[in-house]
Amino acid sequence: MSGGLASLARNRFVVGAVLAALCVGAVVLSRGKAGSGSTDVPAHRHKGPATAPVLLTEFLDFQCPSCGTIQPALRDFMARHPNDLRLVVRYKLWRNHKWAWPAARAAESAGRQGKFWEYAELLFANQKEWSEAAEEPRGLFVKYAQQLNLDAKRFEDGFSRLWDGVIERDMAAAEEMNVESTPTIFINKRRLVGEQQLKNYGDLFLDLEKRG
Amino acid sequence: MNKALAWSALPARLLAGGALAAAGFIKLMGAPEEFAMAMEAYRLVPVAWLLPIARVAPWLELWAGVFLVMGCFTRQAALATAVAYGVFLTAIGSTLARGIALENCGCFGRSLHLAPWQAMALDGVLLLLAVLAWRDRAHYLSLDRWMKGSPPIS
Repeated sequence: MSGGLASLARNRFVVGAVLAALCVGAVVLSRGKAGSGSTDVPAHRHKGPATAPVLLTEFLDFQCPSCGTIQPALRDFMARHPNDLRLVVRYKLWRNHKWAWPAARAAESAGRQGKFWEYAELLFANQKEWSEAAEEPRGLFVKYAQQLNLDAKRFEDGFSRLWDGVIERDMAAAEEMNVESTPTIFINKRRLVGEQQLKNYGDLFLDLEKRG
Repeated sequence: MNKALAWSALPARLLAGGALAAAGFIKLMGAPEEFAMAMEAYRLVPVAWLLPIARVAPWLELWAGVFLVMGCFTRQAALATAVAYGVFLTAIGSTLARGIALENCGCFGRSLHLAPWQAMALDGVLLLLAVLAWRDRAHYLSLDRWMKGSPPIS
């Protein structure tokens, strides 16, 4: 009996299978369970029907070029599924984007006046202008706010780091959800990174989510 | 001569296999979509294939690397490892030839950023080490030897 076990233990295929299984075990144990992050996002960063069956969460950085270029594809995707999707924008700001935080503060400030989406569009449309500024481009952010007829005093209050808490909450959620690139999109919990993945897998993932 | 090859093949096996296993493991710790995004920059494979590849390839890297380090199916693992490094070299070389600026080679996920020439140099050395491990038939300190009932070194 023990001789049989010993010969089994020295069988290459058995040893190989055990080794492969140990690798799988090590990966599963090391991965742990990816958190879903805090879902507490201000209402102004939600778009689409509250009854929509699927939540589409976009992690972005206003200074990230790919976050700008994905917007038409995202708008098209939302337009093709008007009743199925509710979009939520969250922040994942990069340290090497020096005006990402001020831009997020400006967008939050505009959001408090009900113009988050319009302001976000202006930030992306003028991304090159403010991204390349040598000094903090507060003047440009105020100019965009004026284009939307926002209350200047209330808008500028947002620069006093008033809304940093909500931005930090998103950053913590991004960390917990293992977001390493922007734009990262979650269709419920199914992840997509970048425009091409949205175009190629967006409909499939949405379909899978709708089927539950 | 064979003894010299056998002794030099041992560190070669550990280095080539260890690096490939580490690369696979690091990618498996991240989301496959992140790796797919890194591969997208190479413009070598249709986008629709990237996600399935990103789900499978890191496992193959991990298994080939671990098998090589442990010396189980050593020659097959060394061959698979050499092929992997050959593919990496070709992919990075092709981006240089086509003038594509890679932001991240994607070799070790986001944990280690290598410039294309650094990645090519590293892959080139590791490819040579994998070939050395493949040529060796002594497989010192390996599971293969243990399974054959041979002493670890002789």
